[in-house]
Amino acid sequence: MSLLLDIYGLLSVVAHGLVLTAQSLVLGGVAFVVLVAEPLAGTLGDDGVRTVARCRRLTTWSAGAVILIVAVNVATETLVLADTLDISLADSVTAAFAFAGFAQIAAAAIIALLCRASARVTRVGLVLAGLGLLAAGTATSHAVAQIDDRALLSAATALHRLCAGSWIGGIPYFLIALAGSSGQDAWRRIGKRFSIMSLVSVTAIAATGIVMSLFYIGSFEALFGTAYGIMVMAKSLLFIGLLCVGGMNFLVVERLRIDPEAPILRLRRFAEVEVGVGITVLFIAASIASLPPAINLTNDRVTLAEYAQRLTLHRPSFSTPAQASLAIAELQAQLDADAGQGAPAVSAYVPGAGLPPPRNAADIAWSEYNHIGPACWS
Amino acid sequence: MKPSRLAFLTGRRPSRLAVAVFVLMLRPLSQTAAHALVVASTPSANGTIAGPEFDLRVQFSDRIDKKRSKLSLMSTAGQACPVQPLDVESADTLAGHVAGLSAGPYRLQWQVLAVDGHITRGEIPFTVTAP
Repeated sequence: MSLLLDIYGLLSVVAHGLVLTAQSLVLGGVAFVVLVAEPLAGTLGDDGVRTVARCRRLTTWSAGAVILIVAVNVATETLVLADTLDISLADSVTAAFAFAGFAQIAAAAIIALLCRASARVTRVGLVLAGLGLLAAGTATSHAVAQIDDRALLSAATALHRLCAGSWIGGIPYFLIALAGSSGQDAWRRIGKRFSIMSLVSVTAIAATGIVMSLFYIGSFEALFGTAYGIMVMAKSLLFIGLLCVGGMNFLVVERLRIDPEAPILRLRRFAEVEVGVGITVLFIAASIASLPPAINLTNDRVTLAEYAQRLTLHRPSFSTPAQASLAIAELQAQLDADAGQGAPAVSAYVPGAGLPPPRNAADIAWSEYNHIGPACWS
Repeated sequence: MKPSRLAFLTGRRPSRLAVAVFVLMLRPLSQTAAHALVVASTPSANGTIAGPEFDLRVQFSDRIDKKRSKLSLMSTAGQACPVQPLDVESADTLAGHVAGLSAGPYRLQWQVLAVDGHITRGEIPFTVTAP
C-alpha cells in the first residue's frame, strides 16, 4: 500500500489540480451567471436567455465534476487513514477533512440543482452555495493547519480562490457568452462587465497572494531556496503573463466602446489563451498545496552558491560513478559492517516506507549520466 | 498479524490491481506530500536519552488531529514497544510515555493527520542509555 502511494504521489497532485479546476469553474460559473449573464439577459433578448441557459449548464457539469472527484478523494483518504492507523472507518470518516469533503459535495449538489431552476430567486441561493463550496474547500488548505494567524490566512486563501474562480473560472463562460451573442453592442456590454469583474479579481488575487507569501515564505532565501518558493515564483510569472493577456483584452473592449465596428476575434483568442494558462496556474497551485510552506523548511535550503554551481556550464560526463559509491550502497555497507559486529541487520532503504532515500554527490552524477547519456546516444 | 482492510488492493487479480491504481491516481492527498514537519522532539533525532522510562514528545509545524495521529516505538531488531499516549495542551504536539526499555538503539515512528487533511509520517532514530 505504502509503495503504491509513493509511486502515485505525482498523479495525486494532478488529481488535486482537477479538483481546483472544477471548483474554479463552479465559482466562475456562479459569478458569471449572477454578475454578468443574468443582469444582461433582459437587454440581449433571446441571445441573453440562451447564454444564461448555457452558462448554467456548464456550471451544473462542473458541480458534477466536483462531486465525483471529491467523493473519490474522501473515500480513498478515509480508507488509507483507517488502514494505516488501524482505526475504524467510523473514526476515519469523522475526521475534519472528510466533513469538509462532504460539505463540498453538498454545496456542489445544491448549485447543480439551483442551476436547473431558471428563476431569478435562485441567484441568492447560488451565491450562498458558492460561498459554502469556497469555505469547505478552504477548510482543507494550508491556512487551517497553521499554528498562528489562522483566521487571517483562511480569509486570504478564501478570497484568493474566490477571485481565481471568478476570473480564470469565468473565462469559459465569457467565451460562451461571446459565441452566443451577435452584434458589437452585445459583445461590448458583456466584455465591459467581465472586464470589471476580472479587474477586481486580479487586484484581490495580487493582494492576497502577497499576504500569503509573507506568511508562508517569509524571506528571500526561502523564496529561491525551497520547492514551495520556486513554485510560487513560477505561478507569479504565469500570473503576470495572464495579466498581460487580460490587459490586451481590456484594450479590445475599450476599442469596441469607441468603435463599435472593431473586430472581436482577437478578444476570443486572448480569452482562449487565458483559459490554457489559467488551468496551468491552477495545477501549479495544486502542486504548491502538496508542499510544506517554505517558512517551515529551515534546513536544506538551496543557496545561491549552489544555484551558481549547478547552472555553470560544464562538459557532460560520459562515465557513470561506481554503484558502490551511491549513498544507499555506502550506507548499506556500513550497516552490514555494524551487523557483523553484533548490531541488528537493517536495510538502508525500504521502498514504500515513506522516508526519502539518502543522497550524495555520486547519486547526482549517476542521475546526470542516466539523463545525458541516453540523450546523446539516441 | 491482523489482515489489512486494504488487503484486496494487493490481490493478484489484475482487475483488483487496476482498480487500486485507478483509485490512487485520483487521490489528491499523498502520504509523501510532507506537510507537518517535525520542529522539535524528545528524544532528539540521533540523540540519547536515559532509560528505562521516559516521555516522548514530538512537536510539528502544523496543527494535528491527535485522535488520528500516533507514535510508535520500534527497537532496531523490529520489536514494537508499547507507547502510552499522553494528553498535552499544545495543538501541534504528540506525546507518549514508554517504560521498561533496555539500553540500545530505537526508532520513534510517527504518523500524523494535519487538520488540513494531509497525512505525513516519519521516524526519529535515537539511543537509550542505561540510567
